[in-house]
Amino acid sequence: MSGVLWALFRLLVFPGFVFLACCALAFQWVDRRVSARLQGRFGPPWFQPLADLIKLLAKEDTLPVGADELVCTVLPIASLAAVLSAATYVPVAGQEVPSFEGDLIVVVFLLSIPTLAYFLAGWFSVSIYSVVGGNRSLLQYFAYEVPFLMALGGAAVLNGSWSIAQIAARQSQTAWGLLLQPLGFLVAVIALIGKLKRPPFDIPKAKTEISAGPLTEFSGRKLALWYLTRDIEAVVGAFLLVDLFLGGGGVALWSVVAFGAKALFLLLALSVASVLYARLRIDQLVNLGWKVLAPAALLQLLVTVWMGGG
Amino acid sequence: MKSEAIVAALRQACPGVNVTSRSGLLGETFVVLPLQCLRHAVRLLFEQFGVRHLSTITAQDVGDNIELLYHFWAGEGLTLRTMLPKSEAHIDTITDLVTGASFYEREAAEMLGVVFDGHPDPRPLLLPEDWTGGAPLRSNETDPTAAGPTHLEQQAISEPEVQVTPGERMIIPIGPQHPLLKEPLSYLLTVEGERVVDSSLRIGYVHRGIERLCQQRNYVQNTYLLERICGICSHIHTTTYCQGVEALLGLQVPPRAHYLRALMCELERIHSHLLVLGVLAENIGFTTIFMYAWRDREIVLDIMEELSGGRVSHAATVIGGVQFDLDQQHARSILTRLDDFEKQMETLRNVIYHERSFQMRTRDLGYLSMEQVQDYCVVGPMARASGVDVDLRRDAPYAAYRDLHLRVVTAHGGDVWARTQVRVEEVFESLHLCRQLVEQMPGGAVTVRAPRRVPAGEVVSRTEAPRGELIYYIRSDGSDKPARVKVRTPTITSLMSLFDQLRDISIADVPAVIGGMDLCIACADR
Repeated sequence: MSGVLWALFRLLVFPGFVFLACCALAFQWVDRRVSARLQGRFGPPWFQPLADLIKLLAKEDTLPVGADELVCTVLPIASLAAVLSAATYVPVAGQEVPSFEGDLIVVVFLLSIPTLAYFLAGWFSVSIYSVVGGNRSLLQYFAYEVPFLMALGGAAVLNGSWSIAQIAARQSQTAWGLLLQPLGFLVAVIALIGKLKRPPFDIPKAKTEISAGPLTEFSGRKLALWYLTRDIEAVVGAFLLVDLFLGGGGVALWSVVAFGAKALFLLLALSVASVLYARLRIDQLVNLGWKVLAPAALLQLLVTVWMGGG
Repeated sequence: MKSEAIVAALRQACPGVNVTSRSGLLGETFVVLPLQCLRHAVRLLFEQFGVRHLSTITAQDVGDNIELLYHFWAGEGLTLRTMLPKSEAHIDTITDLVTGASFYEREAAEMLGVVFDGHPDPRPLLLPEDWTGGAPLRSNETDPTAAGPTHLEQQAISEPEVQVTPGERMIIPIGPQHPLLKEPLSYLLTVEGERVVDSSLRIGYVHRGIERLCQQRNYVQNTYLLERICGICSHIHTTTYCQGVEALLGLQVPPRAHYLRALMCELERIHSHLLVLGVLAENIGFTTIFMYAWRDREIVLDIMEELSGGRVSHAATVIGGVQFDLDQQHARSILTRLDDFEKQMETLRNVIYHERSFQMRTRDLGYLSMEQVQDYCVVGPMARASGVDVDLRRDAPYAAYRDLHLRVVTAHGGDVWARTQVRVEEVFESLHLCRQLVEQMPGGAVTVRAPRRVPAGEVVSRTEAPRGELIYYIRSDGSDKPARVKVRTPTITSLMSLFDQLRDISIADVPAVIGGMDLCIACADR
């Protein structure tokens, strides 16, 4: 009985849903605040993300006539579920997780479900902006996913395991992946921005071009879920990269703090990147993905294999 | 004088008909031509003299006839005028000779009921499709506002059919409400995938009938009405109008007023250019530059507010002078703040010139060749970015510009990037002018008394607004109300070239092109 309760606690509270949601809201605040300060603005008070979430949850939920009600309800729930499932395999500060050989692949797959859901949301919500945004998110998927997978695969090859927990643990014996695979780490971060559809790669939801892309017709609870998914995905993505490239973290107090600091550093990098550049066009992103990121990740992989990693 | 040579050539080319000319106020030459000679004259202007910049066409009701005035710019103002009887108001189009005549002919057609035979696109420009009130600017019609658009309540203006047929052609509506452009312009883009293959434009959503309203108000009231045409370049509108009315009155404006007007004009140009820089940056997803540009713009807006009392509508220029003055201490404070502003602006210029992603999104976009610019009669920074060296501050100096040292900024790229460069450099040039103005400002009065009644006559008043050539035609019948006020704002010229700029680009580039054009729909609609 206590085992079941413990499992439920882990799934729902820590390091499950509640913890991730809190991290996500905190990250959203940091992100908004940092980018605001960098742009000469003030940014919102700390409770603004929570207030926004509650407000959206309470708002009327409408869909246009002709939109597929069922699909449009399932999609945000499915993407939130996928991201939360992915999170169960990503160790936070050295926490025990149900790990197995190959869970890295599962996590990467689960984390790409929101992108596919974006594409479907584009088709099923009968808006032209959504259709264009959906197409773009699929194109973007093909641009970032391959370099992302290759960069993460590099970390797996280096550490001789396809389990995230294993990779994180190995690094404490050898050295951080960042030091051994700087190029792979860089590719992973850039591809993560593409995966999260954050500026300057916010192409599928570029508001001055296609309103909000696939989310144009969503409102109320569904939109709140989309937003929550977006932020949780950012946090999980940062945790994942910390585990794979920045040495993960131990259970001791200082290493928990260190884990948090590393994740925050990554998220701050995302915030800074979002204010530094103009949004790319989709063809420019595809070029970047296939002509720069993929070769760079491949090079890193070859160097790793040649150096006799693993 | 060039116009004399042109008039002589016109006389030679149209033998047996009466071609008369006279030089009017503000250096404009008026040439009266019979109806059948007009096309011939327009062709001659282009072929023999290279004159192809049609500023606008003014149509006006003069009793039994409709009079058309074709205002050309030949390095000096040249207006061809012709009459058509009201009962048979037909004239051949000149759009095949001057493509840029298209919108002016459409406007003349709907406002005065002139039929332009052979016009390729005779839809109404500003009025609703189901307008039943008659030609609003014909004087013998009943009050058009009383009739109004009757069907509007029953059926909405033909809304585009929104089709979602994946993989095929789609029509994407942009505007009249859309995050890309905060102004009411409707654009239907036909796209295949991400590529724009066709587009169609509709303006008129904020048409306020200002030209007709002007005929119902006296000259002083019109100053404040015309200022409200635009929320950005409001000062240049009053200045252009007052300059015309003062010419009709034969009024000598004190030199200090000329300097103060020019100072406001340059401040206005700075804040207008920064505004569009911000809009462009926002449109290409570069929010940081948007924030910086609009933050620094506040410095200039504060100065304008201190000077005139208003942030948007300044009511600075009045007939006979200006309504504000500048003391020594304030002048020094302004110069100090402009120095600070220049430092900020240099940082901004550095970022724009060296950030690759900004150029990736603006280069080779919305390209207009010099040929196209001249064909559409595009003006201002848009024209200068395609290598057309034209600036009325230098070519037809008004206010205090005769005394100033001015460098006209041109570029040769013809794309959004070149337009951005031109505007950024013009901000620095305007700062330079502001300093000259403050330092050289003569003393004395800032206004003279102007009579309320204006002697009969007509005037064409041109200035260089932030977006390019602004032209007013004012005709007085001797009363205290104008008989006709015609306004042509620079945006209208850019709109005509929009179709060429949007063809065969990606949807993602549409905001960049529109942001780079600096459109002001309130100006275009009036």
